[in-house]
Amino acid sequence: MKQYLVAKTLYPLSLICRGLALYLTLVFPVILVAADTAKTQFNKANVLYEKGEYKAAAAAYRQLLNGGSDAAAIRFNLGNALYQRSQFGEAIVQYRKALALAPRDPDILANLRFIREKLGSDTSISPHFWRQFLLQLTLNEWTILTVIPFWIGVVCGILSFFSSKKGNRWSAFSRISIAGFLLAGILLLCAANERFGKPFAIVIRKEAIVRFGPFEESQSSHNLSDGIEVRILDSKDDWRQIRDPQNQTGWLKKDQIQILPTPP
Amino acid sequence: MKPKRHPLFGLPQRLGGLLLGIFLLQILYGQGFDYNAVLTRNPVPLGESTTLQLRYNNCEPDQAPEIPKIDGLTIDYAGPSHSRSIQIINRRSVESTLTIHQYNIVPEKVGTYKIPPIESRISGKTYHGKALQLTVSKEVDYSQYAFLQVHIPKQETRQKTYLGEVFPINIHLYYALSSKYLEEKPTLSSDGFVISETGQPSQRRVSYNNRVYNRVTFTYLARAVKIGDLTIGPVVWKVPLFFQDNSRNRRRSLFDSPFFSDSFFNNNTIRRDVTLRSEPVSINALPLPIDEQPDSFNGAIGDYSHIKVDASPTTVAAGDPVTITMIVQGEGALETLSMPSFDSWREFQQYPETATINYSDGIGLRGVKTFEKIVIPNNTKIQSLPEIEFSFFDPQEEQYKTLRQYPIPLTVKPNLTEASQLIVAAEAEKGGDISQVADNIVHIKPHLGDIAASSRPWLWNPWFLGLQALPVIAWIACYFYRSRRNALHKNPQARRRKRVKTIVDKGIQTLENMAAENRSDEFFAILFRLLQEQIGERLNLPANAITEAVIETKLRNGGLEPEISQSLDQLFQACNQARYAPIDSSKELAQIAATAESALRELQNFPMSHDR
Repeated sequence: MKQYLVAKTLYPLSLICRGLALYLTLVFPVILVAADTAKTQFNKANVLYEKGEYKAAAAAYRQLLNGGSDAAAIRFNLGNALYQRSQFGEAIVQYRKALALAPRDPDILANLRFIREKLGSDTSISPHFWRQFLLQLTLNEWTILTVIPFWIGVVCGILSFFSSKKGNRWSAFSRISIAGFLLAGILLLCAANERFGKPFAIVIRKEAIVRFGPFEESQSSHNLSDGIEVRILDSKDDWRQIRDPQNQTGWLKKDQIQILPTPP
Repeated sequence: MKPKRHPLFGLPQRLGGLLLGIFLLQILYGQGFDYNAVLTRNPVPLGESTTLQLRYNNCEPDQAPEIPKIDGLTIDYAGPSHSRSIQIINRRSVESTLTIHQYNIVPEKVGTYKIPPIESRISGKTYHGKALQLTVSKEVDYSQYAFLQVHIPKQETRQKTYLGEVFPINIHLYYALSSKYLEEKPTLSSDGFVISETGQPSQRRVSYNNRVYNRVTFTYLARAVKIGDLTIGPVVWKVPLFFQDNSRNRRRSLFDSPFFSDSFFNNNTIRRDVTLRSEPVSINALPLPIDEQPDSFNGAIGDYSHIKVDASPTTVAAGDPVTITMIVQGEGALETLSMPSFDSWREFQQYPETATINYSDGIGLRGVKTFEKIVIPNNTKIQSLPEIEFSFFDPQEEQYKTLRQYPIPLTVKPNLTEASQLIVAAEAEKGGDISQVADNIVHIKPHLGDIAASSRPWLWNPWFLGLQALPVIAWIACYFYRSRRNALHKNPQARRRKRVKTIVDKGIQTLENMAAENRSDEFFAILFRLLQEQIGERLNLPANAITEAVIETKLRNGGLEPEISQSLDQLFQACNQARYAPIDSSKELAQIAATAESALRELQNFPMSHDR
């Protein structure tokens, strides 16, 4: 009977151990092997780039991304390969996606600025200082900044319940932390809104015709060249209403632009 | 008067005319069919084959006839063949068809074999061919016309090989005819070797035992893949021979007069397919010696005369690629040869090498392998490319050898592009204008860095949001605990009620124990105290102030049920009496304890004015 009780008590523990062992034997090696494979493919793609085979290199980087590996270095190198093939719009798309993963990377910032300069002035939507500040951190970094004061505030609040002194310091810490949490939370929401609430797009065709209306029959308004960044205002079927850096509005077909960021 | 003719006069002419008429009628108006069986070669010598043909004129069997098993003969169906012919007779076309089902027959021993009539079903009817008799004569020695030799050059010096060592095997066919008649390649079987072909065979005319032959040579490369006594062979090669058939009725021996002149090759020849076999060859495969194995040895086996390493360019900027070209020349498994390890080149970023092979012997054993590897010096402190060591095992001399390429001087200058890129990056960080300093994009990143497991932000992950609920739940639980504690702290009556309840619960237990132990004095002292505490709590009076009079004035007037107040009276009286006349009976004490418990519980539930 006693043995039965011991076994019954230890059964959940044994299940956890088995699950952990299964994870370590099956999943963990798979993750390691996948990472190793990604490094090998990355190196191969880099060799192709060094040889000047930019098309093959771009295909190799895309294969890596399609395989589920996403890293700022892959996006950055893919952007470089696309730039070398004069696909400036696609290159900007990849640099922007790389920036979402590593927003303070100087190389990415440098290439993005370089390519914008190359395309000419007034081709990009330059964010205000406030927005630049929000984009300095990734969304996950903002989340960490929000969650840390939240947890500190709650733990201090709990400790203050058990403190005998009236107006104890735990309570003060708790209030300060919760205030920090609220502030960081607001910034987090703003950052999320900046990324996902205001979609923009990049022209990825050599010459995109902007029309007054969302129909093939609509009269053309003006042309936009490859790499121009535009704001998305509205959508209708396969058409997107845009506002370009010169504040001109019109409609573009959705296959002429790449919308960023991709909603989660 | 005409002379009287003999009755048989003119009969032969009439009969001949009748037969001719029947023959013409058959050709003109009806195509008869027939079925027969023939052996293409009979007799046949042991070791050679003959063909049984079932011939169907103007008909076709419903299915391929089955040949019964005959002891001593191996019979295999070879498939059907069809032919059609058209003849013009008297301006009319007459069509005839011929279907032949063929069976290869290989005799296993000398003797005479009877092949029974073969049954065929034609248009649903069964027909039988004629029985046949096959004569198998003694095996014929063709060695004067064709024979095999297996030549392993390395065996001339030693009867062993090393694991992974590549060596050639030459298979020579001494053939009395031109090699253009050869239709099949030799089949080489082996145990424990990987055999690979080396291309087209070679041919030369040689004299052997006063005869002239065409020597056809196939060369294979063999590599031992396991250790121990291994065998190569036998080699089996099926070759055709052609003989002149001088006898019209073929009653003479067919092998009396072979001919070798191609110009003689006409309808008056017969073909013999002869299967040649060689004896297997034994070779002992040894493992590589592990003593004195150099650290730089990476599996190369063979005889490599020299290596040559070049680097270009030798003056570079940091971060620019340098192409290292390494040429290895010699004999061995060039296909599997790899570049030495570059693990010690930590100051260089490396890319995988590429290789090309140029063979010089036509069989893929001797030649030059050229490796190309791109390395990128990381800093300007590098002054040379490190020494390259190439080690291999020489199976002829049975020892390891090492070839060295001494360091190649390398000048690494500061990278102007990199410097400008650093400036660009610094400017970009500062938010400055980079258009004045940058002339190209920043080069690709060599390191993969962290791979994002998921591009989905944590904020959208349910597990992350669920985790944030944990401190909230803990906080709410603690909040309610503290509220309850504060409520008690602010309400002395509630606090006293809780304390008295605890005292009463413990006291009742103690009373039961005292009763069981018959300790009268302590029993009543505790009972009196419990009554004072509980009544005092209910009346919001100090416990010491509780007497029997209080029951009368406060409880009874406060609405306490008479039964309970009477019980309380009795309990007080019992306490008073016990001072003068103690009770010595455990039973009585237990009864009093039960009464006290009942009264105290009732009293706890009695609502007093401060409860309402």
